[in-house]
Amino acid sequence: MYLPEPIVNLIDGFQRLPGIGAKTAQRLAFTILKMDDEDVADFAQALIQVKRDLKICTVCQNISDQDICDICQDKSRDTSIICVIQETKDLIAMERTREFNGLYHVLGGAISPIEGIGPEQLKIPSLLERLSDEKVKELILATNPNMEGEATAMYLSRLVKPFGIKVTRIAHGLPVGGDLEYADEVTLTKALEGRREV
Amino acid sequence: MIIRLQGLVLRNKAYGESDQLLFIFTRERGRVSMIVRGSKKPRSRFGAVTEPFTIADFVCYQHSPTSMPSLSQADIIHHNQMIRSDLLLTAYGAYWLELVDRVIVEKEPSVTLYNQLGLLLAQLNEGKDPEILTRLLELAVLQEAGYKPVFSQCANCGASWKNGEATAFSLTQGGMVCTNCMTPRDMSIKPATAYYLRILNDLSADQLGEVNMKWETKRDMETILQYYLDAQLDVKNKTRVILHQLRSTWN
Repeated sequence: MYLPEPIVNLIDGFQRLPGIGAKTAQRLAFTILKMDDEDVADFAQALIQVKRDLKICTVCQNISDQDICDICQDKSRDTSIICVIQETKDLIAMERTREFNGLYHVLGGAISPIEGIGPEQLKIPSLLERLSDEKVKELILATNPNMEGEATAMYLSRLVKPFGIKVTRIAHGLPVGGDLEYADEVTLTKALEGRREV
Repeated sequence: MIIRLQGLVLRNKAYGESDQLLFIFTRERGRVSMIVRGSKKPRSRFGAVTEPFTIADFVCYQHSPTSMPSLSQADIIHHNQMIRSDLLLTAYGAYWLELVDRVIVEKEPSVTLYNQLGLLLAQLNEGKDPEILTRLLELAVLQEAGYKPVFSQCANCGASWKNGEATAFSLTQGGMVCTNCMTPRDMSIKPATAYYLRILNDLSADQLGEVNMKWETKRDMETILQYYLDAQLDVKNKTRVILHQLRSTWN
């Protein structure tokens, strides 16, 4: 089927995104075609800006439009607690809780022996630098509760031991609103291990 | 069509928003891949079953013979949690799974390798020497690929071994060769290493008892088997790099 080059380029562009196949890319491209010129210009500008203006926070390694992100600059935050997370997406999830008022450190992934990802590929040196410079009292390891997340947590807990800082791991167990009878034995074992007095 | 399988999870891969692709090793059908919908969500029943090293009974639904099966039920048989609770054991296990994944194929049964891997993982989970277990796994993988090395006699002339005889490992002959057959290109083997290689080559994981072996002998066995594996399977193991890196820094 013949299509003009500009729309073919746009379809190709959308197809580079994860989870977007040929049909979806085509639908999105034709939606763009129907949009107002101004909206399209805004959209294009947003795409350019996200690459041009975004930086990595020099302290926590989170994405930011400044050298130091808003969270690291916020004076009301508790600088004695650092929560270690894998990705920026995890930071958004943690911030949604409104329960955590400390700082973050984004590792940019997790140790995965199966994928061949070793500790040197993560932003661990900058974390160690923070631990020696800042007055940190607690490090919360909030990596995912899967093999990669556990491996990373184990690695970090041993690495941080010489600093004499309290290292904690987020709890594992049953989801709120879930049913005990449907829980698998690994989750239940973890929930039992992490039980607390009420 | 409903498919019932018993298998061991080799690896998983994120797919879409919250789904995963799961690759399992089954006794009867070799490698099987399936989609696990919503497994990354906290309320999913399949969170634990998608973790590597897990042995489970899987029930899948396949819409058509060419479509990918979708997991509908799973019951864990062995979760091998101890492996995942130790970074070094995880690295050993990951190396095993990658090796196995290289030699198995879809729809082809690999009964011996499946049984051996299950037994070895159970022993790794119980805390047995991971180095010896790794050598057994490497030998099982070589056998599955059709490259089982010859250690029981000279791989060239068939002569039996005399006590304390100097031997060498020949890549071209696929095993140990005697002093008469060895060439300068062959890798010399110490008598203790040759002795243990002969024993391990014909040993099943369930026959393994307590083995007290010198560190040097373990290293020599590793060098020979990995040299042979690299030559025969022609693969670059990314997990082995991580294993070596962690082994040198973690202990």
